[in-house]
Amino acid sequence: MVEFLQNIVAGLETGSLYALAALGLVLIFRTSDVINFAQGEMAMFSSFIALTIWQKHMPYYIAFLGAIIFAIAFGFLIERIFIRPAAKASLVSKMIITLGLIMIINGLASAIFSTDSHYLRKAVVLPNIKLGGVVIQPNALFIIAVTIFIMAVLFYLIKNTMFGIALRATAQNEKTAKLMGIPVSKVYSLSWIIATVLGAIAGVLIAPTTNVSTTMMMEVHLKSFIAAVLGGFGSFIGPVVGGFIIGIFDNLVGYYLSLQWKTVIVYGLLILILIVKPTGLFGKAHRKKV
Amino acid sequence: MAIFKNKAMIYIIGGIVAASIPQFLEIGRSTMTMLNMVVIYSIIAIGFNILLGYAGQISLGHAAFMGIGAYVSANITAALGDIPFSFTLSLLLAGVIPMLIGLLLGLVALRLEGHYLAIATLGFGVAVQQVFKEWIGFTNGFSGLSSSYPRVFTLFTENGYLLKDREDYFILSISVFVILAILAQNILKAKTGRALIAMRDGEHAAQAMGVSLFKYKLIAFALSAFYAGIAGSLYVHLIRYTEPNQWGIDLSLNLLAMVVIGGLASIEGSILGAAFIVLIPEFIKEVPFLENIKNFSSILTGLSLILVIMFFPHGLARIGSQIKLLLLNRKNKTKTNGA
Amino acid sequence: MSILKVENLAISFGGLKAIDDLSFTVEENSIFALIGPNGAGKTTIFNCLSRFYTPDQGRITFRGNIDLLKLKVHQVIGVGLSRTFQNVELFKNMTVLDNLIVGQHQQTKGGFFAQSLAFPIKKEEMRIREKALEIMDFLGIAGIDQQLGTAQPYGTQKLIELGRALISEPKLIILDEPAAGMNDVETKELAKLIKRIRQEFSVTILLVEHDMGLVMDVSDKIAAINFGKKIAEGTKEEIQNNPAVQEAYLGKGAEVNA
Repeated sequence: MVEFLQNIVAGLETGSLYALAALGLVLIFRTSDVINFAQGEMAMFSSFIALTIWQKHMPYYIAFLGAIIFAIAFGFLIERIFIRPAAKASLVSKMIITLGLIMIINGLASAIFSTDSHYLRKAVVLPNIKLGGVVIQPNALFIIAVTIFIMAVLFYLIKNTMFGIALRATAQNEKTAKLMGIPVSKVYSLSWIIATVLGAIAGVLIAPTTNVSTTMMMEVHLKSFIAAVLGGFGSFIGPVVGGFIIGIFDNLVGYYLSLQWKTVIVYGLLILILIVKPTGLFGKAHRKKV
Repeated sequence: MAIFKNKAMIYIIGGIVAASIPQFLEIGRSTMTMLNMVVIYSIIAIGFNILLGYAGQISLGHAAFMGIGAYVSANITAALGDIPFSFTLSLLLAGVIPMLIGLLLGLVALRLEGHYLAIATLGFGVAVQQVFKEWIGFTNGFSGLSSSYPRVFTLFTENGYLLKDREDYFILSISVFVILAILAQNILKAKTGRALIAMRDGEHAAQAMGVSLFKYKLIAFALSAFYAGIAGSLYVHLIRYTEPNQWGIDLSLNLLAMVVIGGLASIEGSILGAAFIVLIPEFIKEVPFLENIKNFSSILTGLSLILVIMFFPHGLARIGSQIKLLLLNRKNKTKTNGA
Repeated sequence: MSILKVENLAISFGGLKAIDDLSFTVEENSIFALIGPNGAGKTTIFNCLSRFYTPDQGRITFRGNIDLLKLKVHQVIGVGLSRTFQNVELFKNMTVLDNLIVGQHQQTKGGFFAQSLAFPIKKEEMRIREKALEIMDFLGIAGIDQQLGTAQPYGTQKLIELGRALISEPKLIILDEPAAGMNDVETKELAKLIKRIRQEFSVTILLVEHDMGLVMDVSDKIAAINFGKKIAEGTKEEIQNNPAVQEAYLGKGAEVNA
């Protein structure tokens, strides 16, 4: 029982990170109508910025902040330079652009930061809490709390502010949104900025586990995709729930079934779910208009 | 000359010429290895082009099929040893087994669209690579699997002929390439090709005209996996060593870059793209400043990919005509300005 | 003999009932028109016939004994039902000739191996090319076979799509707003063409159309749809004088003159 709960806690911790990343993916998808495959690489780059600042003996929170500020600029630039000009291109073309970005960003990171892996400390370093036999790291609680806090803020913004309405309007129908006077280009920039920041936070928070390297985001990245697909791209809550589900499931499978094969099993489950519900667990199956 | 109108003849004659040149000219071993790699990548690129360029289906895990082909082939030649046709058998099975797996992926593709399909294939690639890492019995895991040079013609001569020289291997790879290129050419010019393009350009109209999406999506995945597997087999017998890290997302992305930069829906484009991907790192080594930047070829490939998609969507294959059009438009503009 | 029998068709999108208990019958070799204001559900009916949608209720019987609802989309043309689309859907990167050839997909012989060897299908490839060129002659668009289909003027594109639907020699052809985007002259030519097609191909024609001139010119029978329901069915005179039709188009207290 203790192990089970332990795994649940671990699952919630990693699940939070998947949720953050997945939310960023869906945010960009709903507005720019493109899957940002380069999200992981961008998060990796932001993590390297945090690392560099921290390695220069700056306080950790400065490094964290530095990564976020970098992410703001980074997301803005990428959207402006690479995504905006291709706004009218086909789905496949836009996907390919983000795939090209993977190569460029990865190459730049290797060139600038080298391919070694580096240690970055946990966000919160405090003694562990013992709750009925279950060991809980304060850092894990911090991660979960940060995630829930960010979710809450974002959902509040989306539901209750002008920005949120502008976002939802643009997501549903860009032309009409423009006609209604919504500054669509600002919406695009903002969603990319938010998504990149979410990715940066996820990257910095997972860095203690994976170490900072050019391949650090691979696993998280893929799992965040699976989370977004599981939850469905049609809503903002779907990917969050999907993230937590994947996090918990991943840990349980790894512990009870097999650590080596858990990626394959989780992936197999994803395929099964997609075959039954091609639009994800929370996606709405509606008649497509011909 | 009528004989040159037939594309098949062009491939055959071109192939004979290309395969003969190294027999007479002194070409270094590393260059010959490179040339062999261009041919091998051309094979998988043709298959991938059928999937992405002609059928419009995206697959981000295609390296997996090449890897499966490599491991299958290496295991079979090791198991069968020097019996006649052992290499031929391993080559064929290296195509067939990935093809069957490709059919399974195609079945999944039927239910998914656009970005969901991309993610599912991405996951597929990762999952298969994970299998390569864990299934020690089949792949030897991280220690890697070694293979031997192919021994051919064992039916006709005493001990058969060992394809040790890169020049001799070139004859093998070119021969396989020519056969597969002609096969692809013929299929794409016929009913199947038209159905694939129709499916890509207008799913609804295609269905209304009797094209079964089910059938043709499966064909596209199966064919592209077959070509990838064959390429894998040729690769492992050339390089004689393979390990799981070779078959990851980097290769899948390079494959995508090959066909997009070379030219979608074009067999010539697949060849050009393969040459681009193989030769770019070599050129970078020659440039004094760039050779010090790690992974510059990655950056360059990514940039080229984006530039091509944005400005030259038909890739290198048709860049000639696109530049002509650009110049023509410029000329006409200045003409009307003058008048 | 009735070639198409639609009974109690109903389909909803979300909460909106797009088609509501619709029934009509089309006689063989006739020209039958569906008219109605925009959004009445006419294209939705066609999409049910083509099997892009599966209706919530109803039966569709084709050629006496074929239950259309048992078929998949790509099987429909195989039993002799072909169509054009409201927003001309030619294959963007294909020549005019290839666009027409795809229309013969189901009738093109040659399995996978024959195609890979090329020479066994040489004859068949020539045959389908000849047929495509013949259709182009019939429609008066000869000479552009090697040009890109979507590079043609709109009217020509509509003819190409018509040819693509005709080339499989269907028993029933569905035309979705064939006169859309055409001027008076072109519409009159189209009317002549539709009658010629019915004559020379012995095919039944079911069309959805807004242009009343065309409808009154070619139709044997007309059904008027509004809000997914059939409000009238009959000959052109009966429809013209039907008060429900007049109300649907022009509001209460108006008359339709054609």
